[in-house]
Amino acid sequence: MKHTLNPDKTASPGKGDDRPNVPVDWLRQRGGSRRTVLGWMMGIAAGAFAVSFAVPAAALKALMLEKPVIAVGDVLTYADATTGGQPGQPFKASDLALGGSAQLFPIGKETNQDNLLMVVRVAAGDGVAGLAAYSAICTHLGCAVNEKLNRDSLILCPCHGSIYDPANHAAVRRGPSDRALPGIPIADGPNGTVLANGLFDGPIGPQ
Amino acid sequence: MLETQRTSQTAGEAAPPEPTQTVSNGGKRVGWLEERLQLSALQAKYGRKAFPVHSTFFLGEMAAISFLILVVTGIYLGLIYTPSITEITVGGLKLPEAFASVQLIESIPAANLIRNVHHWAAHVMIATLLLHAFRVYFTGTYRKPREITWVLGVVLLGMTLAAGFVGYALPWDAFAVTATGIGFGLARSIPVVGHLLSDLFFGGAFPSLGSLPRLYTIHVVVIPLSILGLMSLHLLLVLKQKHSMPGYAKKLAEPGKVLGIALWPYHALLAGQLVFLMLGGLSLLAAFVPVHPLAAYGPPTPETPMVKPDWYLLWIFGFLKLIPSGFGLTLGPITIGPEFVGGVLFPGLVFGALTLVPWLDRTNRRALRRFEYMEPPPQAPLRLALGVGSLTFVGMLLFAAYYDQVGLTLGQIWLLVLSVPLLLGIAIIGWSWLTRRRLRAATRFDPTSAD
Repeated sequence: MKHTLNPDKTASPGKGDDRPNVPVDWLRQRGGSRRTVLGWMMGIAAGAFAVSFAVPAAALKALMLEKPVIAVGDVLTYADATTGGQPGQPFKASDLALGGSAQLFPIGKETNQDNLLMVVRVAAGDGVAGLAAYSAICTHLGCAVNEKLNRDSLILCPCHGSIYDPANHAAVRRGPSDRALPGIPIADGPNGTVLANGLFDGPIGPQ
Repeated sequence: MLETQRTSQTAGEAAPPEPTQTVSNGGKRVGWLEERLQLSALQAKYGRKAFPVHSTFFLGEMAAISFLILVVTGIYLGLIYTPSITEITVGGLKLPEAFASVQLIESIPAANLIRNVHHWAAHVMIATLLLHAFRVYFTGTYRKPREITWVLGVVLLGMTLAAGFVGYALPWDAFAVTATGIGFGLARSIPVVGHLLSDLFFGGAFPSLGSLPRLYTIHVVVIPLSILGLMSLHLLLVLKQKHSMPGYAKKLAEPGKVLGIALWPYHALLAGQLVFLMLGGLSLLAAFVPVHPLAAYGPPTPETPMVKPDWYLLWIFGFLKLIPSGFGLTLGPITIGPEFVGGVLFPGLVFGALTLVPWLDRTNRRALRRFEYMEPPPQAPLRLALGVGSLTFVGMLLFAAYYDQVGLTLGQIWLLVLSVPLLLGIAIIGWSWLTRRRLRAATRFDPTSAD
């Protein structure tokens, strides 16, 4: 700490003044004064005050909705009334003919749009054999795909025209989307119902 | 009794001394308010300020009146509305609380009328703001000394558009959720800070439990207070610098003098008439032109309806529609996609250019005198051409929002969007060059003031 007094550096009161030379501290040797000290203190206080706003601001961020996620064993129910089933009514594997499709939610978890499933019958069969289940949320910008397949029996998203092939792991056939719809395994449940049997094999919606 | 009093009064100087501030009003008794507030001093200093008169000078005022109407009708609506997305059962149906509360508003005729007035006032506010901005731009009155006033105006315009966007989310019908979700996606597309900013503004990953209450507070408190504060500053500047004047004032009044009608009572009378005219007009609109009833789209469903924003945001939608979907680049972890370019960068550039107008204008560079008069637009052909070209470009974007429904291809609409404004701008420059003899120095109007 070089805070020793340098006797050669003293404040000269100037000619004609009869005050004696006084020894000068290390701050004054560098041309500072009490004003400098106060300035620094004010600056640091103001800076700390400004930075401290980050604490309440950080609390503003997170207020997440408790979103129930689809799980193994969830009974699949109709999402809405357009394909002939009542919302909340359990879906039966026999409800779909070849080329038919339905949009389903796991029972009780309709509040999470990400749980929306697109189930398509791609081949004849008993129970879930011949059914393919995918996420109904388009991987382009997050719109829900059309519940009915188009004329070529492909999944179509009405927002920007992305097309997925349900018989081929919902791979992208055309459109601005560049990622297949994530698939999810399904299994037979009691009384002909269909259960979710795993998790999605990819992230839902746009990434 | 009386006589005693009289006697005692005349007996000595028992009468209380006259209050020293009382202003003699030709012998009449001075008013109760005057004794306490000295309104006559206020009138002498401010009430006699001259407001220049021109047909376009009421546009800003109309925007301010619309804002006032929005606040009053908004307060009324806020007394009924519930900003919550929790589902409640109404008449056997499970509906979000916000949706149900707007249904309640719709079911009460008086409240529904006020809701429609609120909606129309929003459109009128934005429209008059834009017309007011055009007036200032095309007459060159954003120049010295009014650059700060101009910048404040641009910020006010942006805030008003934001208020419209956030207000649209509140009914929480299928349209509201989809449209706000698109805005959320645009905010999310900002590289690096997109997630943080969008979570902050939308209260989490939209539609989250905190989204609607946060948007409500932003729409009802944050934006209106900001608009009020900035508008007050804007008007204070106009008071200090005096409103710019029409060209005829230069001939009729001496330099440095403002020619106009006194604030009180003449301008105030006109403003009062305007308030009632606008209230009447808005009420007629509200009564006869239906406004986005909830039944049009219904409560939010898993399906995504096709939505387009209202006209004041449709230009962004149109530009987004023109961008090819593969457009963008990835620099390491940062992805710049078409949503960011069309939804954030493009509007940002437009507003940036708007803000810089006073500094892009070469006639305003190190100007020695102040521009106190409106300049006739044909006198500034470059300003006129750039202004008309830009407006035409934005207009073409509005048209581009529907290009697929009109049967055009992407290439054709791009051609139209670029060529029509360019041709119009060139036509204006050409016309002004052809008529340049008419703009010789002798007939040229000098918008600066010697003062």
